[in-house]
Amino acid sequence: MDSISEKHIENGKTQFLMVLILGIITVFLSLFAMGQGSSSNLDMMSTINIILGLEAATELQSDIIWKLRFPRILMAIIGGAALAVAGSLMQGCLGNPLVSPLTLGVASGAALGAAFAIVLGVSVLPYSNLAIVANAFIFSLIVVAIIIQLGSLRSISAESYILVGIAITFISGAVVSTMQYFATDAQLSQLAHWSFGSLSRPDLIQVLWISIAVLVLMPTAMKWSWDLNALSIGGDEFAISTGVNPAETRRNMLILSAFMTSVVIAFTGLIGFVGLAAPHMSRLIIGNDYRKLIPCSAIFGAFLMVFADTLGRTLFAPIVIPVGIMLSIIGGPFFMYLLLANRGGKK
Amino acid sequence: MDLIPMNISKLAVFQAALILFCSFGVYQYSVQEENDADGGAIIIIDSNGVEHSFVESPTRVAITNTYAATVIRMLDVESDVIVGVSGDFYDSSLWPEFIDTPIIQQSAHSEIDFEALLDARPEVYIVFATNGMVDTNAIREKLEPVGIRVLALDFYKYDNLRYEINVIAKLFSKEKEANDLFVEFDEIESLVEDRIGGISETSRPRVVMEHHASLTRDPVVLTGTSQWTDMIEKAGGKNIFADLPGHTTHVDMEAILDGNPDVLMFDGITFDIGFNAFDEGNDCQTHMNFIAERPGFDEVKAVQSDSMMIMSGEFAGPMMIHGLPTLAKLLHPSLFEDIDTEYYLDNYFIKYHDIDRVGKFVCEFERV
Repeated sequence: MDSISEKHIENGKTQFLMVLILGIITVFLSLFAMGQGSSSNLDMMSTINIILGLEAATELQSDIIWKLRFPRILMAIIGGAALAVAGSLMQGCLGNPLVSPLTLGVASGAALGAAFAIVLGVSVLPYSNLAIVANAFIFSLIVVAIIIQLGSLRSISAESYILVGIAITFISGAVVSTMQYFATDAQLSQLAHWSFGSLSRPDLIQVLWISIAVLVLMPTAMKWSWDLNALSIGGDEFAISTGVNPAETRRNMLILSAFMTSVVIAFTGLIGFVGLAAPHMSRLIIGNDYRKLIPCSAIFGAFLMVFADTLGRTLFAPIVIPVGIMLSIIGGPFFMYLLLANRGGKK
Repeated sequence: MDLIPMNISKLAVFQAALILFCSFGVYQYSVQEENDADGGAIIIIDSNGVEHSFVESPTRVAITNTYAATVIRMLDVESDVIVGVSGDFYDSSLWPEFIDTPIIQQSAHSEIDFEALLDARPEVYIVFATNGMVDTNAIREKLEPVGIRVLALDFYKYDNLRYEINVIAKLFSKEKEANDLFVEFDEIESLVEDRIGGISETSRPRVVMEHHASLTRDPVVLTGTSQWTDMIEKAGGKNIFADLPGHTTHVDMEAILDGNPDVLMFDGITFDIGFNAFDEGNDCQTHMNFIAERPGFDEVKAVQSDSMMIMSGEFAGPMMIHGLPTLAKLLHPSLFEDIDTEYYLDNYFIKYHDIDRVGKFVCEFERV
C-alpha cells in the first residue's frame, strides 16, 4: 500500500473516531438534559433511576420525564439532525456556503402560513389546535414548489434558485408584514412568540411522527451524496461528465431539504442557525465528502440543538430562553472561533 | 499673488463671524421658545417624566386608545375636545360620540396617519407611555416640532392609575371630579381590603397568570412588572412568578407544575370576551380544556379544584378598581359570598359609559 493510501485510511480512522466521540458526547448530553429541569421533585439521580427502572416514579414524575422532557430532547435531536442535513444538502447542491435550510423561502412560507392561521384564522386543516402547524408546513412547501418551478423556468443554475428564492421571500415577507400591520396586538404577540423557535410545543406522538419522517428521508439524502460530491467538486460540467444530471439532482435535493426543514419548523417555529453552522462545523472535521458530511452534520446538528436547548432552559431557570435565540448566542461565537482557528488550514 | 491668501483669511474670519452670529440667533430663538413653553398656568408631568406646560386647557385633543377616552369620560370632560381617534373606537354602541370623529390611525399600536392627524389640528396627542408596541419617544420627536404636545399616559397600571387620572384632571381643571372618583375607588378598595386583610401571607391563594402568547409556545406568564401582579396582590392572591423580571416571560412547564398554583388565570385579550362579546364559539372552554390536558396538570391544585379562569381585557384598564371585587371573589369565594360583585361592573358601565353592561367578562372553567 502506498503512503498516500495509508494516510487516507489513517485520516478516515481519525475522522470516524472524532465523529464517534461527538456522537457519544451527544448521547451523554441528552441523558444529562433529561435530568435537568425546574421541578424540585426530580433531580438528576432520581431521573436516571426512574429511566433505568431502579426507582418507582410518581404519576407527576412520570409525566415530567416522559411527556415533557423526553419529547423535548428527542425533538432537539431529530430537529437538529434534520436541519443540519437539510443545510448541508442546500449548501452542496447550490454551491453556496451562505445558504441554509431557511434561505429558499421555507421560513418565509412557514411564517406566511402561521400568519394566515393566527391573524386571519384561515387554516388548511379544520382542526384549530393544529392550524398553525398545518399552515406552516403546507405554506412552506408551496413556497418552495413555486421557487423550484420559477427557478427551473429561468434556467437550471444554482443562482437562479437563490435569486428567485430571495424574491419570493421578499413577497411572502411583505404579505406577512401587511397582515401584521392589520393584526391586533395579541395576534402580533402570538406571531412573534411563534417565530422565536422552541422545542416544547410538539407532544410525544407528534415528535415520534416527525422522527419517522426524518428517519425515512435521511437515507435518501445519503443515497444522493455521491451526486452531491460530483456537483460540489467540479460544478455542473464535471457532474455531467460523471453521469450526474445537475438540474435533476438540484431539484431533488431542494425538495428533500425543504421537506426535512418544513416538517421540523412547522412544529418548532423558526430555528435558523443550526442549518447554516452545523454543516460548516462538520466540514472542519470531516472535509467535503458528502458521504461522511451528511451523517456528521446530523450528529453535529443534534449536539448543537440539545446543548443550546438545555442551556436555554437551565441557565436562568425557570425562565426559558427560546432555543433559536440560544443557538445564535452560543453558536455564533463558537462558529467564528472554529473558522478563525482553521484559517489557512488543510480543510 | 499675495492677494489670494489675504482674501482667504478675510473670508475665513467672515465665515466664523457669520457662524457665531447665526448660532447666537438660534440660541436666542430656542431660549425664547423655552420661556414661552414655561409660561403656562397648567404644568403637568406625564408618565415618561416629561413636563408639559399649558396656558389653558386644550380644546383639541387626539386620542388613540379607549383607556384614555374612558378616563376623559370618568372625569366628565366634554367629549367635543376629542378631534381625532383611532380605529379602536369602532364599537358605536360604546363610543357613539366618535362616529364622525376623524380616524388618525388604525389602532392604538399602529402607525400614525400624519396627514389625517395634522388635518385634525390637535394641540395634544395622548399616547401609551410604556407600551412595548408604541415608540412614544419617536412619536414625540415627530409631533412636537409641529406644535402637537405628546402626553404619555398608560391608564393600565394599578400603581400609576390615580397619578395619571390626576394628570388629565389637572389638564382639564377637573380636580373635583377626580377627587370624587378617588373616593369611590377608596370605598371599593376598602371593601376588598377589609375582607382579605385578615388572611395571612401563607394562606393567600397562589396564582399563575398566563399571557395569551401561551397559545403558541411554552407557557408565557405575567411577571413582576405586570399590572396583573398588582391586581392579584390587591385581591388577596400571590403571583407565583412575581419575582421574575420583566412584564412577561417564557417559563419551563415544570416550573408551573412545581409551583402547584391554587388558581390558574389567563389574560383574555385573544378571546371573544368583554363588553358586547359573548364567546359564542366557546373558545374559552376549549382553551382551558387544552390547559387541563397538559402533561402533569391533572395534579395541579387549580385544575383539580376547577379554579381556572380567563379574564377580559377590561380588567386591566381603567375598570381595574371596579373589577377588583370580582377578582377578589374569584380568589376568595367564601369571603365575598354576600357581595354582589357584578354590581360594581354594572355601575362602572352605567355611571361612566352611560350604557348597560352586556357581554361575558370572566370565563370560568366548567368540567365536562
